[in-house]
Amino acid sequence: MKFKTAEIITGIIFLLYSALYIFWITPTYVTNALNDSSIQTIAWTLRPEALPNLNIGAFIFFTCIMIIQATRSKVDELVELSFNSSFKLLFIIACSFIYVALLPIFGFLTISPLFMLILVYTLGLRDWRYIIGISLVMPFLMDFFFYQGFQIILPEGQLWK
Amino acid sequence: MEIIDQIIQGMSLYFTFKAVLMVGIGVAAGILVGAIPGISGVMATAILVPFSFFMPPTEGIPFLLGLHKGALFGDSIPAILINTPGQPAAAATALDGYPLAKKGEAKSGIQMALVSSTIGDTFSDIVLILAAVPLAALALKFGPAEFFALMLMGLTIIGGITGSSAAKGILSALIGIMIGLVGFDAVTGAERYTFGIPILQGGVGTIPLMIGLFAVSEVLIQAEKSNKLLSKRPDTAHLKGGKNLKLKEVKTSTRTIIRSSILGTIIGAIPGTGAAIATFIGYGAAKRASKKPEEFGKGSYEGVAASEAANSAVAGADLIPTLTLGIPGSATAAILMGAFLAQGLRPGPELFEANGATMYAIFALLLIGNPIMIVVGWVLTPIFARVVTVRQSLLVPAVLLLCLMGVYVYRGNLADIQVALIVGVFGYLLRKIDIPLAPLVIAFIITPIAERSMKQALILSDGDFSVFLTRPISAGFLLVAVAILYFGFRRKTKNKKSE
Repeated sequence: MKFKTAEIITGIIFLLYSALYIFWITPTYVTNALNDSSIQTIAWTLRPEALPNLNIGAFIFFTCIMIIQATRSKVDELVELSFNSSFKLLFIIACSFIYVALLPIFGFLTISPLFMLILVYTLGLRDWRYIIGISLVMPFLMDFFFYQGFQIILPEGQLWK
Repeated sequence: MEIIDQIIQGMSLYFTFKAVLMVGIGVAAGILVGAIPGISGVMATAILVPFSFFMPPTEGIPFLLGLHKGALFGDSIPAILINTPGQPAAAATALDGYPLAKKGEAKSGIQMALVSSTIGDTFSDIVLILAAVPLAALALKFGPAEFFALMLMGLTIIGGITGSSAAKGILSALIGIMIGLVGFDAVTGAERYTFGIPILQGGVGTIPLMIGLFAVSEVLIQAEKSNKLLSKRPDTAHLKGGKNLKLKEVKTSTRTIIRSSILGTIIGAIPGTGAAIATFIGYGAAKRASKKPEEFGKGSYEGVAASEAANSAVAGADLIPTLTLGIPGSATAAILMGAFLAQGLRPGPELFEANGATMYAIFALLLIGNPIMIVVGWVLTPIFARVVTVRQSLLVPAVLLLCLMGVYVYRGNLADIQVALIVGVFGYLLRKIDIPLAPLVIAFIITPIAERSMKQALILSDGDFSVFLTRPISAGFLLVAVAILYFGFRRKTKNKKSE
């Protein structure tokens, strides 16, 4: 994808988000959520949504400038992103979220070696001595370090309690 | 007399064996993590800051100061050894450092980086100490309107001059404000943008945001490389052996180190300018003034000294606006400010009134940290440097795991890890389209303070916005902000024409 195309798409996403922010997020999670009726009567500039509204106004203005600059740009650089690397990144991100979801169930020492093993393999290492070695050593070393150094207990896992 | 009392009090509180030891541990930890290829000083600071939360302020603050120094120097190790600078500022070091390593002089090259880095840092620390008290005293005279205008001006400078375009820098700062607005409104106590999620009531956590933005996004950038590159062992055959740095080589570079220290301090004191600009200006000036300019780029000790002294001088100078005005001058300073806040210190002009003793102790520890850095760096760098021989495919997952657990220990909440991951992906996307991250972090940190000042000024004026324009100092700051924006956009237009 061309860099300026990426900038224009980002600008459009920012503008759509701004519309959502103005017409739904702020009214729902700030204005209508105010329980104290006395806040409703104070000057507009002192209300909790004053700075958010000013900020989003400036955000829209500078987004438009970014889009205009991108459309006028003659630079033909490409955004470095290939299909393979995108797939690899999505896989790593998904693994990380799954890891966090499984942490409270299985505990740090059980799930982390598996997480490390998957990541090291995904990043191209095929020497199983290293893969297994680092996957086992790193979590145990971290657990030891956190506990001995700071008396911090990393998630133990409900399954083992 | 009061100042002397505060200095004595600060010394008795912080000048203990344990505090000095913590500076040393911080320096060592900073060098070790900073030495990992692909990890910048900012990222190293973000990863290690959570550990300070488990220490009392008398140990946590010295640890943070040591960390700040160590991480800066640590960056130069992979730049010199394997030509992998962790951040643009270290790229200038790699220009001469790597050819030195290729010539079999890696050891002396790193030692030169250490010496010049320490001298640059010491110089900027002295300037910080001399400038801090008068600047803070001046800032104390400001009312809330002036203070808000000052913060707005600071943010405009940071956003306007950081990165490739003023619009992107300002957009980054505005995103930071948006994230900083999550949580309770300081004046009315109303809940904002918490989406009913309890952990967001106190706002987005500083550590999940920092680690997500700098560390997780960097892990994703590194992971994007081809598997062949990631699993390849770095070529380190040239690193064996090597001589120690000679006094003669330091003497030859003395003028260069002093020049770069002055340049770095001046540039670093301006919020948002960043170390990259300072190092390249320092490097360029050294090349022009050198008797042997032809050696630059081919393994010149002067070249290494010029960039490292400027780089480290920026770090000390960065703390001038951070400690005196409460406006962090860089991403690292913003992370440190967040950590200071967690330690119960609120950087800004009131700091000298509320925590004068601590402030003077910080100054003393900054100075003491420099000889400690020389000793720790000299002894431990040969051991820490071995980290560059480890394959990226092993380092990247290990760093990710360390980041995620660093976020977890912050509040013992798994939701913080999810926040860090989401922010990391967001940070990665922003970096892809060249939106700088530093303005975002700085804006996030100062939003609550800026909003409080804004509302205080508005309460005094019955909600009338013109208060910011009718007070001369406030109006002056706003005028400067507008001028910076104007010149920021002009710079962009000129750049485009030259393209």
